[in-house]
Amino acid sequence: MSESVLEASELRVYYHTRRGAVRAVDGVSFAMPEGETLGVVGETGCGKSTLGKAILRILPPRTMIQGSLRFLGKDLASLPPEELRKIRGKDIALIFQDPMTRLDPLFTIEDHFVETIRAHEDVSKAEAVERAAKALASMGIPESRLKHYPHEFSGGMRQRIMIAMSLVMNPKLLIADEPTTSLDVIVEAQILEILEDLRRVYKMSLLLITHNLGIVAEVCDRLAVMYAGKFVELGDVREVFAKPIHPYTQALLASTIHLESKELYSIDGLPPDLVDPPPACRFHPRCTYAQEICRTEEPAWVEYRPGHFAACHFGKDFL
Amino acid sequence: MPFREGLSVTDAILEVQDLVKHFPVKLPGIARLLWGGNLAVHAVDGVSFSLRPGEIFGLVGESGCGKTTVGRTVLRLLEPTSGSIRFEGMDITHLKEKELRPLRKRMQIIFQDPHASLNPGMTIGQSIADPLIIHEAADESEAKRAALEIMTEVGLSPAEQMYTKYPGDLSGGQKQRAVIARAMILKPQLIVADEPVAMLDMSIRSRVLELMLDLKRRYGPTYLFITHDLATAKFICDRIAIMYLGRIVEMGPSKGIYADPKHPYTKALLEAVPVPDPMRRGRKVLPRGEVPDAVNPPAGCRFHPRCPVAMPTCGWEGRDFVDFLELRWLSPEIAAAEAALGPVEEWTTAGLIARRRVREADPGAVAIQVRAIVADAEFPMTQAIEAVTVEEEDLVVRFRPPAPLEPKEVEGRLVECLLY
Repeated sequence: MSESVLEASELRVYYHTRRGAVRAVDGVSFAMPEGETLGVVGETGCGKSTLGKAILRILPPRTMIQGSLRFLGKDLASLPPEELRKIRGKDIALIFQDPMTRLDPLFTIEDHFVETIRAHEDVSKAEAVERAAKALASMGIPESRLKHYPHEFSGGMRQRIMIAMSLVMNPKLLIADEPTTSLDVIVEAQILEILEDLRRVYKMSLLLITHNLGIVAEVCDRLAVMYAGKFVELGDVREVFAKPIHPYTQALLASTIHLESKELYSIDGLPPDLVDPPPACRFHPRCTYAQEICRTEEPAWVEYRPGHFAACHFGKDFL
Repeated sequence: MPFREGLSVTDAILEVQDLVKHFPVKLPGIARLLWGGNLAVHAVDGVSFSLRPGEIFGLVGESGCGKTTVGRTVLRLLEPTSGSIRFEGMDITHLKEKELRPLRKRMQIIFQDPHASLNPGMTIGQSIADPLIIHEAADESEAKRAALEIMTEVGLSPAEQMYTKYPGDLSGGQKQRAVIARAMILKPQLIVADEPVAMLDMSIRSRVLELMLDLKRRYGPTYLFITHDLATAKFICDRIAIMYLGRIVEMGPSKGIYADPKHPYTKALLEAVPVPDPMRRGRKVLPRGEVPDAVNPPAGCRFHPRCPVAMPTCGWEGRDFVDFLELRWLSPEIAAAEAALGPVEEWTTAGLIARRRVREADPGAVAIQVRAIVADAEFPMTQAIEAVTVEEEDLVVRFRPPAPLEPKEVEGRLVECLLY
């Protein structure tokens, strides 16, 4: 395996609220090799978006971040703000769910590109425009539309523009937070194919944050399942889909309604409040297999098969 | 439009004929003069279907296809532009609000966003009991008793305790249960459910769908189920209609449509749905581009500009030619070679015609170049071109009119496509 692009170890992110600390990410460790697509899957409020934001350190003030995050060997926490700004948007790019709210309505697409490029590189405006035109054309958008404003584009086009803008700096790591959630299914499929192609061409790593298991199955190499601020399972996407170990992963896969679903399945109960999560295994109140030990002891992160990890006391029983 | 009064009364709960709903586009004065002042979003453009008692009928399509507008118009929450709506055999298209009132008890709606559907100032119990009081179907204590009963049925228990809670205290799934309970408390004949599970997490979606099926078994309402999610529709609908840009393109029993979709758009939609099985990855054949603007929908079949199997007769027009040039010129070499024709901004289109003023070059030579491009390109559009001519100083590309398009009966369903 080649060198890790990103390495998180015991990462914790606690939001400060009046009710107390919200433990959105609570002890997450993983490493992403170069060129890999890692999917992070979970339901609303499991902390998956916070994880993406923590990597770029774009969290509200007074948010507590613990543990280490290393990007190409550099500890992101110890970097001074100017150094971090150089990495942000250049080496690590981010695309969000709703592209409309991320493009400034008062600026043309060209302005956006020029600003992004010139923030990181000392090039002339003409050169920046030329690069922008190339990036847009690679997304199937004609150069003539550089002078247009964000509202003149459809949702799918805007997302393509966002992707073109994040790729114009040739990043090592792209974080995509629900990149297709606000798009229709056909446009979603188009965007996923673009991401897949680009990743192959540019050899970048992609951290894909989503609630949609179908998308993960279509584009990811590995999959991490997140529940209540913790990873509960991590492994090769084919293996996790075929032989899930953690009961939450099993339940999540069973509850996904797809074109071949034979019956409806749902998980009892509600996701926990992250101010006061359940002790020990956080899934135990909703788990059909829960025993006494699940309420009292935190399950260890065990490698059950080569490269396939899970945190469940009874992981062996599900092999 | 046939005069329907004389026709025999069918047993359909809801019968929609040629429903049209246009939303006028408001323009400032000068633009109104320029555009003639009658621009409209063609949200629904001639839709007909009927619901049999007790069935779940799905309206399926992407955002902007008009499915939500249909749902609201059949309940007369929006005024139809034309067409007719019959509810339980009675023509309700032009009923006044006062005359509609007594009918509203029998038709209810569930909206997508449960967070916005409940009054934050009312307790859950009050919200659920409210329809009984508004329709004077019960006094307050009876209404409360009925509310507690239905709350237990939808799983909002212990009901006594939930009754006094406010929407802010509930999770998304619980709120949607409350919304369903409120719609069900009058035991309506028809429920329009507009994306009832789209905002919910996967793990609780199934439970809400289960609840809707359960209530149907018990009280037998008819559902008009509006969704963009083909998988959910497959699971719960008896029959479905696939909508695209204000038209129904395919309609019939769900089983048949999912097993063997006929319309190219239905095929494309089904192909695009992500499959949660990493062993079955593969490249998909996807339609080009996105849903076009409903202010100016494409001529002929509205799907033709994106259709992978489009034919020369499907409705090609002047603007399709300009789009074709624009796409072609994404390649800088071709754009340079055909510089005499560009840029695309120089082209104007009107219906079947695309034209460009040529002053700087010899119009005859430019026309020959266009004819060569057209003859070379393997694209059904180019075969729909009737002539490339020079008129005064203009280069004109003229298309043949499209073949007439009508829904046809194909293997037990209706399909609106020239392939059949």
